[in-house]
Amino acid sequence: MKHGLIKKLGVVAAIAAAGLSLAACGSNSKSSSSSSGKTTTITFWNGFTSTDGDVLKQIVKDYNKTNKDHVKVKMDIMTWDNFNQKLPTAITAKKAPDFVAMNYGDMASYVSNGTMKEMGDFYNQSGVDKSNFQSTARNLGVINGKTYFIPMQVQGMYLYWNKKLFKKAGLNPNNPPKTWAELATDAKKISKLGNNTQGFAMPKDGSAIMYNLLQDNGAKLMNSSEKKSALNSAATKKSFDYLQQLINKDGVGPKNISGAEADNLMLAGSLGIYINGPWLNSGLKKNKIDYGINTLVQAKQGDQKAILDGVGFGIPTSTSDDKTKAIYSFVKYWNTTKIGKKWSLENKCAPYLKSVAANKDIKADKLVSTMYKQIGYAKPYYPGNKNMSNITTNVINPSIEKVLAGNNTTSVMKSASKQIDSTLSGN
Amino acid sequence: MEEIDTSVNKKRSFFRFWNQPKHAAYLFMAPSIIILLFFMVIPLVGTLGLSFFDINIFFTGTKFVGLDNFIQFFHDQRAINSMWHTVYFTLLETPTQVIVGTIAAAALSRTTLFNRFSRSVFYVPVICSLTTSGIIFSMLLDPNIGWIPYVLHQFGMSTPQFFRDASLAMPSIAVMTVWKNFGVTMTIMLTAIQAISPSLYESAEMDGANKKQQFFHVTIPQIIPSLGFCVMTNLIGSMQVFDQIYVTTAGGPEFKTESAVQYIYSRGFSAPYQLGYASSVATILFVIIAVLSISANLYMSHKEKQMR
Repeated sequence: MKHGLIKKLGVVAAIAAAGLSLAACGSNSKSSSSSSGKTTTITFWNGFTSTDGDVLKQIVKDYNKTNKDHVKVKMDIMTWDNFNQKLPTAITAKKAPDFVAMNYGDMASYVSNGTMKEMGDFYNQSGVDKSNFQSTARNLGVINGKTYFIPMQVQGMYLYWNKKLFKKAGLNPNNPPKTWAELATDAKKISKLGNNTQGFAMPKDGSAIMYNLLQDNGAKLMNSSEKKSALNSAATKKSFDYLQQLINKDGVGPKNISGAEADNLMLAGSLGIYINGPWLNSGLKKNKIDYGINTLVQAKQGDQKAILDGVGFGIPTSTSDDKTKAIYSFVKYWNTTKIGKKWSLENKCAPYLKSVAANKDIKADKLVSTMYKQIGYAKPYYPGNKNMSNITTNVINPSIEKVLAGNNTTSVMKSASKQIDSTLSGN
Repeated sequence: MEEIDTSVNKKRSFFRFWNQPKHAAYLFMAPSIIILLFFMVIPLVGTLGLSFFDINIFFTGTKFVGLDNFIQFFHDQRAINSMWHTVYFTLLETPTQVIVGTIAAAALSRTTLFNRFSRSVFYVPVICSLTTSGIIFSMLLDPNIGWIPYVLHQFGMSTPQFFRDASLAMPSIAVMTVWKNFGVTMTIMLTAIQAISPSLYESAEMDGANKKQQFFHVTIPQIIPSLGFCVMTNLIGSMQVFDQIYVTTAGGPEFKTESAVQYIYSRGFSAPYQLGYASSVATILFVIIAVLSISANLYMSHKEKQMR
């Protein structure tokens, strides 16, 4: 009785507080779950707002037209920020969509709160070849030994460089930096070109770059049991010092810039070197920037370390079994060679289906095959840890900002380590 | 026949009852009371209730923690800082807006074509969305693509990092907010100034008072109630600042422009989704706003009495 009252009070307060933001988003959070005749309509939320969203819309449209399971996918695309704000409220208010595409880093906290359905039986469906999925990609959706998410896209951070600026700075445009040290040397030369040209941009919310740098230098966020922070180390200090020297002291790039602003600099052709995901490709092509893409720089020549990330399909627990069947039909369609190839080629994404990777068009595409090379050795970063998104937002991103602003790196590291301990202990 | 009479009589007595002014008043108040109840009172009580629980947005693992959330607030440096930032913003924004609005109203009080045109122009930002205004200012002040830094650069000045420099960010947000909202204050003050009897100015003029003296000794005392209203509403609005910060700096750099409402929002509606703790900070903010508003109200009432 008491618990029920708390729930009711909570729902009223949460909905009232979220009302403005939901209204501002201007999207319909109502789950359209009606079945007209034999057709099952399933609602689908995701954050593919860029050109990748256009490809996704086309795939969904084709599926709605051609599928023989009488399923209609009704899609709502919003920014990932909006998605992450709306979904928890929608789940609590029992207005969740039937299925979602979600970033792997955010999944564990939903699973730990019991809001996502187990999807292990998807691989037992007829027409689904489990062995066709790369095991690293499949395991991204496994939390505590159970499958909660099915791959939709895998990605990593890659090295982008502006060939025109390389030439101007007297660098070989076909020889990108291979190590973090080479990156610093090249970035310094480019930043001297003047006219607002930046050598390298490290966004203040660039946790993905930071995690790769930390991993390359041998630093760890948590100990092996993931119950205590392991950030306080010489390797972390080395990583923080490297970034501070590069941005704050050598001034090769802007000190206080967001990821979106850094993207714009690269898209405007005034940034020499940048690290980002595959989604930057379409904008660079559209803006006719003469650029190259390579596997991520390493601490030492010959190392092969990178973080594997991606987006997976998930189903909130509120979705009925009938609709789950309909969702499986769409997810099965998505994981066919034809769609996998289309998604990889048009969005310049590394494939995760072996049949797609073996396709001759995929092999012939230089950008996709370069990315695929990295996917081969990339590993997920603390997979299934429910605290990761909290640590990223509230500890690592603010620490990056402090490092770039010139704060003492030792005290930033110690303070971040303390905060991680506090997060892991649940305080 | 008798049954019909009874029914008609019942109807008549029903309408007679609600036609009496003392009863009809409740009918007129009902819509407002219902709205206030559902959108203010119930969420307020709900928020207060939640602040005593360790509860996340998914309502899983709920635990009664008594005053722990309130105690946690006093050990949470980011939360305390967000309160200070809110107070700092209020101190910058409220007086500036009231002063600018009052001066504009005094300057435009005479009904001429130019003044009417100017009043409309000054009111235009009020009807723009705060989010849109935030985006416009972000672009105008951007050190790379912004028009204002470009002009300053052309005059040989260094390019200020308006929203990226910790010392400039909050004043920049305050200036943007004043630009956006001073039209409301101006309109209220204009109505108050136009209601002042011209005979007061005539007497002051006969006594040899110049324009400045007339403004401070005739205009200001006469508009004290409206001034008090503007101070109060601006104070409450400033203490709840959110949109413009969210759009322009998102609380940065290094959380130095993070407001209390923004902190509450980030605690409750993003990881770690601590709805209980966020509610306790909201309750503390509510108490602070209530104390400030009541104090401001008492002060203005006292001033009003003194002026009379």
